[in-house]
Amino acid sequence: MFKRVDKKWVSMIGGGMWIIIGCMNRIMLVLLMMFALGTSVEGQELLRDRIDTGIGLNPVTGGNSPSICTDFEFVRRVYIDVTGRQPTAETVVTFVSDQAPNKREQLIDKLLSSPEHARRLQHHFDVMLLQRLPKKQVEIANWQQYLFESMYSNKPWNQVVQELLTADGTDASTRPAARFILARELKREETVRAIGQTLLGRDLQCAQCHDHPSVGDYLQRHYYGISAFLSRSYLFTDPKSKIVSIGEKAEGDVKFTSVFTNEEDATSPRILDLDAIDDPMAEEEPYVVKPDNNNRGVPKYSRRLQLASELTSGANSAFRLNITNRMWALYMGRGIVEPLDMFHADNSPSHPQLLEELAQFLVEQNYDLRKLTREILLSKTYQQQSKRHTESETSEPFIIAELKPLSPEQLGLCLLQATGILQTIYEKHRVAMTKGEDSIDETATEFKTKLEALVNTEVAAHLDKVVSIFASANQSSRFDAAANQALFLLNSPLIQEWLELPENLLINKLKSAENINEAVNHVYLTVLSRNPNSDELNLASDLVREFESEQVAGYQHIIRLLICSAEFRFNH
Amino acid sequence: MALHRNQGCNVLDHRMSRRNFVMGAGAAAGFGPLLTPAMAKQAKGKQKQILQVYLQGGVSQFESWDCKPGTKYGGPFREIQTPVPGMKICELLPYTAQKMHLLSIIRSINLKTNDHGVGRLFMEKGRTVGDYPYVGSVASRYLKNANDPLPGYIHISTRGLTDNTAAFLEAQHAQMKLEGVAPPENLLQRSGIPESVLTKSEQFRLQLNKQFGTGRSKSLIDSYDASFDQANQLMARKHLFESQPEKDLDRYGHHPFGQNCLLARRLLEEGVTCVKVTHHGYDTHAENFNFHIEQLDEFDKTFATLLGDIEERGMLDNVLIMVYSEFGRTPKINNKYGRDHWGASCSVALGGAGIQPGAIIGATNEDGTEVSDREVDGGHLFHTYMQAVGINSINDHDIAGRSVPIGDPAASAIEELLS
Repeated sequence: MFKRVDKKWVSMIGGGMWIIIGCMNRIMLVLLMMFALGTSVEGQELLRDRIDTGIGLNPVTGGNSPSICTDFEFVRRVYIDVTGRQPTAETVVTFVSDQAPNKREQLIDKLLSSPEHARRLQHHFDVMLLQRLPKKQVEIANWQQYLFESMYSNKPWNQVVQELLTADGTDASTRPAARFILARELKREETVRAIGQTLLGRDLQCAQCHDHPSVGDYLQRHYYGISAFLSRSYLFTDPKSKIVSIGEKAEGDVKFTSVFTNEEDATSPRILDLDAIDDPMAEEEPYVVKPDNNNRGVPKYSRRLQLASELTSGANSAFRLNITNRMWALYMGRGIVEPLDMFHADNSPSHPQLLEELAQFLVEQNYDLRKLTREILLSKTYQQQSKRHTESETSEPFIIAELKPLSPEQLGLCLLQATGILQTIYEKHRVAMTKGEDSIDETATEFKTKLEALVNTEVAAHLDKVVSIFASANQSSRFDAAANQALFLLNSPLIQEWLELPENLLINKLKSAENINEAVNHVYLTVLSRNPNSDELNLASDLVREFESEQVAGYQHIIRLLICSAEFRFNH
Repeated sequence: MALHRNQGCNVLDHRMSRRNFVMGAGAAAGFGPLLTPAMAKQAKGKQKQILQVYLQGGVSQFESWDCKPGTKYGGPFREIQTPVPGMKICELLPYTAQKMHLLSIIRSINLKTNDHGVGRLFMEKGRTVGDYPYVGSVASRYLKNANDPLPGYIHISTRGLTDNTAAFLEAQHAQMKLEGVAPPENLLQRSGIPESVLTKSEQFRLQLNKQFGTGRSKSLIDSYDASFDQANQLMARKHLFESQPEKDLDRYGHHPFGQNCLLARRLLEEGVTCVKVTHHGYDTHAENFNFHIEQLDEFDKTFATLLGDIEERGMLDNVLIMVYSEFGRTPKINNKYGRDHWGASCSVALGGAGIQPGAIIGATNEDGTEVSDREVDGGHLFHTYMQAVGINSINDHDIAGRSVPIGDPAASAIEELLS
């Protein structure tokens, strides 16, 4: 329906034409540039533009100031969304002064291919899929590494999900993916609920004991239809190695009883309202390996493997709509269907056609999440300001950008960045990696990946601490704040330790600032990605002066003050 | 079976709630959740509160509320008379016995589990499985006033068990965990900051938020500000955690449980909606009887003092008292003179708020091996706690776009216990 222009192809043609045309007139040049930048081609509306039309962005003001966010706002927003942290002060200054007309697109492309983006998605999908469950059976670090690699290689989403559902834990190379099921130890109430919530956008918890009392679409047979794919699977403990993996039997059906009506019912495996899937004709010998105390059962026909293909099949629209809605919500701050796990007839999408179009694009692009993300980020809708200018402005969803509360992981990284620790750690490892060798290419993928991994290992403990204070298990994108979180930001000795670290590059830079104003300006750029206005500059500088000879303590205090602001707490 | 299906949550309600969310109302984040008219009416007047005394590990029903002296499994202790005619409890609780006219006993609980975790969740959430909020979090959400200075749900314990008590409710309704009477983490201000700086900084923070908030979602920024207000209020009350009044400690006992209970009373007086005190150490697989002498000796006088103080202050009409465990202990005495896990017939004591005092609900059979009358489980108890503090537990939680029944729709309150 709308093909994206293949950039490689375009630039090849463009290059070829350039030679032929030589220095033709300027109009031709402009046309070529438009083509190369991926602006719309006759008859083919790009998805990013379809988003803006679908949302109903005003075509007159939508593309111009003041609705489109400033460069300061954009660089902060896209860094936090894509890499999980705000840009450095230097990055902000460089980006804002960059005169290239397509600098936003360039930045988006640079960030989407960075290892930091893969780490951000690792954090996001870890929480979404595992809901912060404790370690069981599979090492959490291995699972996280699996997610990181999947995201860094931009593995198609349907493939990721197939791996989650088919890994049985016997092969060390695929065992990390089995954490999705093994962390829930195949307990029906946890596993079926997780599949419904995270992969189908439906929280079927209530349907375990009875048809949902008030959501007409959530039926007990939906719950047990999914359960029937898994009911023959069981945890098998190898008698020698004691390693737990997933075995399966060749028989067993699912019955259920409503606690309201006491009616008993049964179901074959089925995905929601799709047809039930009957077992193939029983064979004389139904097993590849017969289950007993010493052997993990492997049936010739596996219902669990069948789940992976049925769930991700094109017939199951819930699968593509769920991930599309979740990716949209990740960057826009709210789903087209909200809450994200409440797809049902009485909770209709705010923009049903757009959701369908986005999902169709994702399928056409072979579930390439990065391509979908790119189009979302390039839309004017994503780049709207989060601020309303007059009371009368519309409050229709997505016309004005949402305030996005930082996730616990984002908040952790932003705190480490705001206090100078993140860059200090980066610099330490960068220097160590390049020491004595001039020939090292710091822009090489391998270098960047290794550096990011070293930094990630070092900040993990700090992140865990922040996450333990700010995490809640709920799946909603709703904002939460509690007193113990405020106490942490206000008083925590941990943040003070970061600020007082002798090798802290930020603090050392502030120490060498020419005057208080310059230092305060740098603090603002580092913490909030903008310059202070004159009032702020005066107030902050006055506060620093109250510390008299202890100017550094004054700067540290201003940093602590700014990290307590709402402006810091939200991506805006 | 009593059956409560909520028919009130129709299509329109769902649309409305989604719409509210869409309109950026912030989904009731932070501020006064939209009470149903019934709830609002109940919440008016004097605020209802809850005191939970959790006997962790599983107190023996034989050695406490359901004594069976002289029977096969009864153990060595006698029962003693309480001021309530016909109500006798174990002699290990002499002080509490004198206050039993204020409490009622439920002796017919069958939790159908012998697992610590499952039993505890059943007693707290009224459900055996699933992601539901604890009693204290629900109470905080529906009973706490938006301008109450302290958190709505404080748990005083001496060991770390962390739970996501708020489930899908807002984080501000999660339990604030106190390690005994030590101040909450990060309560104390950094030293070395001039007083004048602190005042100006607070003004600066508010100024920043006002500037940022112009033209942006008010509810989000308000609820963020509210968490700082609450933090400041807590900091202003750090005296609560600095020292306990000596005279009171002499009455409560100087041991940790005595200190914790005294802090609980002071927190209730400060208006905290739900205060939970955990008394550890009832998992008596060996030496059940010696351990119960020791444990209950500590519990009895302290708890009776606390209950007396609450009554004396005229708070009992508004404070629900719960004394409970995750299950009881086996009738059979094992070869280490211990009793093991037993969820099939156990007891709790309740009182205050909307609970009729002086009642005994249900019974176990002669040997105490099973419930013989008026069997209930954690689901019934949950409805009962909620309705005793005026929360209509057959309603749904008002979460945008969702309808989740507050209590398990397959269970109902113990009506005869509610006044």
